[in-house]
Amino acid sequence: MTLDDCLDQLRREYPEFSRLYRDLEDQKKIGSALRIAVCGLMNAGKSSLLNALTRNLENEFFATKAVRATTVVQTLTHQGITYVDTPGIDVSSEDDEQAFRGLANADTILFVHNLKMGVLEKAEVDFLNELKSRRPDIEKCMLVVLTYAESATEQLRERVDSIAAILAPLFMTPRVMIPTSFTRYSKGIREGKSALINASGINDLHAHLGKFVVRDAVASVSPRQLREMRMRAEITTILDAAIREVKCKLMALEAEKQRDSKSLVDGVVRLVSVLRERISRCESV
Amino acid sequence: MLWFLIPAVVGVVAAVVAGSGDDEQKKLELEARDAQRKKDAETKAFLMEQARQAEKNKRQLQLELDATEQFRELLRTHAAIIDRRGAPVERISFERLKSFADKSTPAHSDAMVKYLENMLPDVVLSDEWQSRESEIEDIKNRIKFINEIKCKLLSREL
Repeated sequence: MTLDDCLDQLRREYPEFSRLYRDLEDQKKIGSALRIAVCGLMNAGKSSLLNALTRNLENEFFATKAVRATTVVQTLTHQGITYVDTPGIDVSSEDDEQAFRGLANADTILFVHNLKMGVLEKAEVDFLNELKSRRPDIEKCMLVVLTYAESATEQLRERVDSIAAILAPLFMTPRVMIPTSFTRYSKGIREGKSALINASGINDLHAHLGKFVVRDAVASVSPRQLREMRMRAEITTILDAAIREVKCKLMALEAEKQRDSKSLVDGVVRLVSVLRERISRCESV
Repeated sequence: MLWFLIPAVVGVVAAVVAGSGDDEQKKLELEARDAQRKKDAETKAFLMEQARQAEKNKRQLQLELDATEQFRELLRTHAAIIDRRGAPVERISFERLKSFADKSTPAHSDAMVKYLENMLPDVVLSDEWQSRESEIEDIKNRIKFINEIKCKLLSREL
């Protein structure tokens, strides 16, 4: 057995180790740029949102389609920030896992919800719960972006309140929720109408993201470092458990060996003792 | 003038001569009896020794048969530990048994197998035993590597 064999075995036997180790390896590869990742149901408007944030309105760097367009994690670095698009959740477990992988090393997570769909679906709440268990720090780094705000102008306040009520039990502090409209934004850009651009919410989102950048820049220990420390600690805990488990197995095998060894030694000692006795009797004739 | 003494002297001489012949006879008889007794004793001793040797041989033979069976039984009852790849256990001679019994008995399985080789040539630790040994070795290596991974993680080498 080599160190690599041991790593492979740990990956097979401890899925949580496999995930954390992979996330840790991914983190080493991602560079120092701030990483903003989006997640949400299919057709929530994630890719459109990223196209708006990165000013890729015409060429659509992040493909947008009515069908499942994003199946793998896609990244684009724009003005020193790396934007990460993830596959829509609740389509397949593979897509969900890809999405979690894309979010594992994000410095800021934008949870995108389509206001046309009404309030949050159960799948979205379940996903957030799972994300929270994988990323306990989302309290501090997750924003909720509500897309297609133009579709709910009348009921906007009411919807936002309902969504806030659903999210409240999941988080210790209320989530910042930013309604956005890609339609308004793209029209505003196309027609040069700043009122439409301002009403799109994209600038508000930029402003919030700017706060995250500043907060992370001044922190003595960056959230990324803290995240890495947490991952290392979690992996260590898993390894300690693995060692305990393997030691138990070793003790059982060694006890079994001891028992067999004693049985053989006792058996031979008995045989030799009888043999000596009988040889002595033979010789005394 | 002493003629009258002649018969008496002759008588005495004859008596003496006759007396001396009896003693010789008796002595010879005694010697013959002693020789016979000795011969009888020797014959008896020879027969006793022969009987003793026969008894000893009988006991040794029985011991060889019994001990050989006991070694076969040992192989059967400890099949999970020792193995001879099916080789039969041939009858073990008394001299080999004695030489084996004269050696001190080891306290550990590895040394025990070497000790048993004197009686059961080519005896080895069973496949089951060796597979467990290799599993134990693998587990020890695994613990070593997990600890190494842990150290590397903590020192940020990984």
